[in-house]
Amino acid sequence: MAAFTYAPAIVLLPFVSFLVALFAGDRMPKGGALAGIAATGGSLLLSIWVALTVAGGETFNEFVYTWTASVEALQLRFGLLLDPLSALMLLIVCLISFLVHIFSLGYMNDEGETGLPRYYAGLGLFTASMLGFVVANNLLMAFMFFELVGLCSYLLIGFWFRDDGPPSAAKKAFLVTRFGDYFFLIGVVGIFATFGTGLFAPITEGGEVVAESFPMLAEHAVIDGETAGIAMLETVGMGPQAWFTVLGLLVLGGVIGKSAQFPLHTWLPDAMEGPTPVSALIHAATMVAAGVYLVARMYGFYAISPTALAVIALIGGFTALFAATMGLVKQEIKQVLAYSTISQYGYMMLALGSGGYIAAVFHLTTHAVFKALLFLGAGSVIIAMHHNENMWDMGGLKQRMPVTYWTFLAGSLALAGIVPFAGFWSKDEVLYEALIHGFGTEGGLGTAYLVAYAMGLLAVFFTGFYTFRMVYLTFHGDARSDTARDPEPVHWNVKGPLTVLGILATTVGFINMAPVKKLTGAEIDFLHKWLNGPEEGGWPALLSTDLHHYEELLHEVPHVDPAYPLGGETGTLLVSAAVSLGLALAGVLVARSLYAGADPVEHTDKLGGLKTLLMHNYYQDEYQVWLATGVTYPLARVMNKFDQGVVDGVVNGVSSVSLFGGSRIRRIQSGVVSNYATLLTLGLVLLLAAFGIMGGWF
Amino acid sequence: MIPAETYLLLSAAVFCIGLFGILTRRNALIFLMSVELMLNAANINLVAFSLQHGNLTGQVFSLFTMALAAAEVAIGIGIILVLYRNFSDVDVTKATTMRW
Amino acid sequence: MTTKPELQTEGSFVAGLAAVALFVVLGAVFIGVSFPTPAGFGEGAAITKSLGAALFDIAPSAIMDEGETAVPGEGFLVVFEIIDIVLVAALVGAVMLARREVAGQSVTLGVETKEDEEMAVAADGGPGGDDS
Repeated sequence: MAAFTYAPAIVLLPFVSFLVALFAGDRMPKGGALAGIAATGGSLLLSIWVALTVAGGETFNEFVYTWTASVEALQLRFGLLLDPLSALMLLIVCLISFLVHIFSLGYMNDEGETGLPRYYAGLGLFTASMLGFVVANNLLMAFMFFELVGLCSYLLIGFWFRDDGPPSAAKKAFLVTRFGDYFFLIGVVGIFATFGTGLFAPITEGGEVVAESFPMLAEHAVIDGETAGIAMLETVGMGPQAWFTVLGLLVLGGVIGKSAQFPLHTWLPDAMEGPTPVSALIHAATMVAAGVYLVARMYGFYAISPTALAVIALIGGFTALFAATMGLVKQEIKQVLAYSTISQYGYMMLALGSGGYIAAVFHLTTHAVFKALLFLGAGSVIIAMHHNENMWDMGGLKQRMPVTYWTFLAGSLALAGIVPFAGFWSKDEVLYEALIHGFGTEGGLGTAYLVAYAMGLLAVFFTGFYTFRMVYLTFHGDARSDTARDPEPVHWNVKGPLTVLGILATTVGFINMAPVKKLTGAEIDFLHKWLNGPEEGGWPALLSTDLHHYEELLHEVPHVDPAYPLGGETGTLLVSAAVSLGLALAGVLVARSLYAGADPVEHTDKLGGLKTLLMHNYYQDEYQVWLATGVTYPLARVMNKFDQGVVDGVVNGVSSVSLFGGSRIRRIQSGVVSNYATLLTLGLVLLLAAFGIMGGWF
Repeated sequence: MIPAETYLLLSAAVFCIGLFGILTRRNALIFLMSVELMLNAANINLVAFSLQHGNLTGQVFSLFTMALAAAEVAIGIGIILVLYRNFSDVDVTKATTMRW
Repeated sequence: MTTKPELQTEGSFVAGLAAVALFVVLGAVFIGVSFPTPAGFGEGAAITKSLGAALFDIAPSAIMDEGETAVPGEGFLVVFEIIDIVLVAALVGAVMLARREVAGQSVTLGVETKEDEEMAVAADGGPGGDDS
């Protein structure tokens, strides 16, 4: 329990390192890096301690600080919710942040970058915000940290602000995510107005529930019909499920923006203008995970709304395919990884939408590890190539950078989903869950799942292809430029994190090898047990954020059930695994046939017009710019005219009445005393006459 | 005894004559004389009601007003002197600088 | 041949109509009013003698003739004193207003200096007036 008392320090330590780097970074030997490393290391140790405590069955859900304490419904209080999901996420964020800090020593300090205090301050603030978001126990606090995380992303993408690209990319990232966050804010307000609370899980004191959570209230409203306390439903005139779907979709706006799903994905490739460690931390493993984490956190609220689930699944499946096709033709190594990130988060959304809660969290974990690994590996390559990112100038780095090569290969195998690397187990589980729920659920929802599954499955082929295209072009063959022939060596502060992540990418899949469990019956699905909790009592009874509860909800409300049409459970499992593995291997082999060899050719030219379409990202960027300049701007001009003409005109008109009236009436003051006396007398006469008539003097 | 209404009417007449003078005359000194007339009209009123009620309070008060009228004329003449110095004319319609 | 400055004594009589109107209103009211019989001071009230007795602080009965009654008149004493003070204040004020400053000294009526003619200080406009 002591771990929970120190839990706020997990968020505060990186914040302190932010302050230290900001104010004292100039005077520190490595520009504030050591403060950041110490802080994230400390947070990592505390997170491990918290995770061990949670593993023992303890959870924590209390308020620790009150910001405003005026009206009950509008209170902003900070609280911590430490249950297995948040403990797991804490570990991921702290570990990746710690490794990125060490990597930054090699990428930024050793390369002689300037402005390092600003960089480490940004990293520290980001880590603190992300950790705050992860442990948030109510929606308002989560929203606040969500925005902070976006701010840090802006600051860090635009780190090299004196060039043209980074500030523009930072602005784009901020604006696109802000657009999504607008809907999120409306959703938050809606949830507060509807339920009066934003808690994710109920707070109990001594066995009594003192504060109810909104997923529980929503569940009671939909399943038990307890809509009496929710006045909002009469105001909007909708049934509970319809209104909760609206709220869920509004919050989803923020999720789509932050997790770079279609249509708000356009910012992520541009965000690659920032330093590579920033891309690894923020745009691969943590900030984009915030959206998916939020849905997982609020899963009890989404599970009662079939429409929202269908939307999530379809968006996820579509994005997975859509981004994978765009990654096929990119020439810069970081761009390929960016589109890969968008695609993989599509898989997680697909899993969440189709009822595969475990699969989504599992893929989140493995993806964080191997994508960070791939980005750091790309960073190592970029250092070696003197910041030339074009893969067509690389080649033959395999012999010259062995550590980087082998770890990058481990990450690529994980990404492509080749057994026994981590990505295989998680991606396979995602697709399996989508498949069985697609067959088992009736009506439109089931069809939606199957469509999304098909898109996700097709994307597996493309994933394998573009991943290994990247590997072959970068590391294999002959060196295609002088820089590649003589790359700059990288030091231990680059190779160390790569090695750690490489080992993790290979082994982290073993935390939930569900297929092996199903085939052999061995109890090795640790993640499943972790998120399920004890069958009776314990933290699931307190918080209701466990897998068992979600599965019950999914069964009861949207009737999301599994079905095993291809020869029972084992048969379906094996077929699904074989298909996805087969497609992945097919993609790898096609890439090998096209790009392996001493001197690969740019085969993408053969696609012709399709290549132009893909290179231009299906013109999504142009479309969004047109929305801003062609639609929003004229509308804003009209509004401005209205404001200045009508509103201001009325105000000015009122004042002009006063001015005009005054300028006329003041002429009574002629300065001639006799006139004043005349006016006085006339007034007196009138007054006397009036009083006389009224008072009957005459 | 003469009824009090007669005195009231007389005092009203004298007052309105004085008022007429204020409204129409342009010489500042004539202006002051008209003010005197108005004050004395009030005095007539006061004495008439002293007789009406049978006590000396009215007459006492009229002494007050007489003294005050005298004081006011003294000051008024001083002001007219300064006015003449500034505008070189005792015409009240010429001293019109305190205007819009 | 000099022409003395002519004051325009014809006022604009239109303004006087206001005074006439006031008289009409007052007259209409006063004609309709009816007062009770005036109380008067009674037969043989010696007002002046009473006032004199009060001024000299002697008992009024000491100077009354046959058939004359005294009238309470102590109120007049206060008036005399106050009149005295007010009139002195008015006198001083009038003299002060009438002063002119010439080279730091105050000039009162009766003293003529050669700067008198130039000293037509006008607050607004010079000699001849400036009508606005």
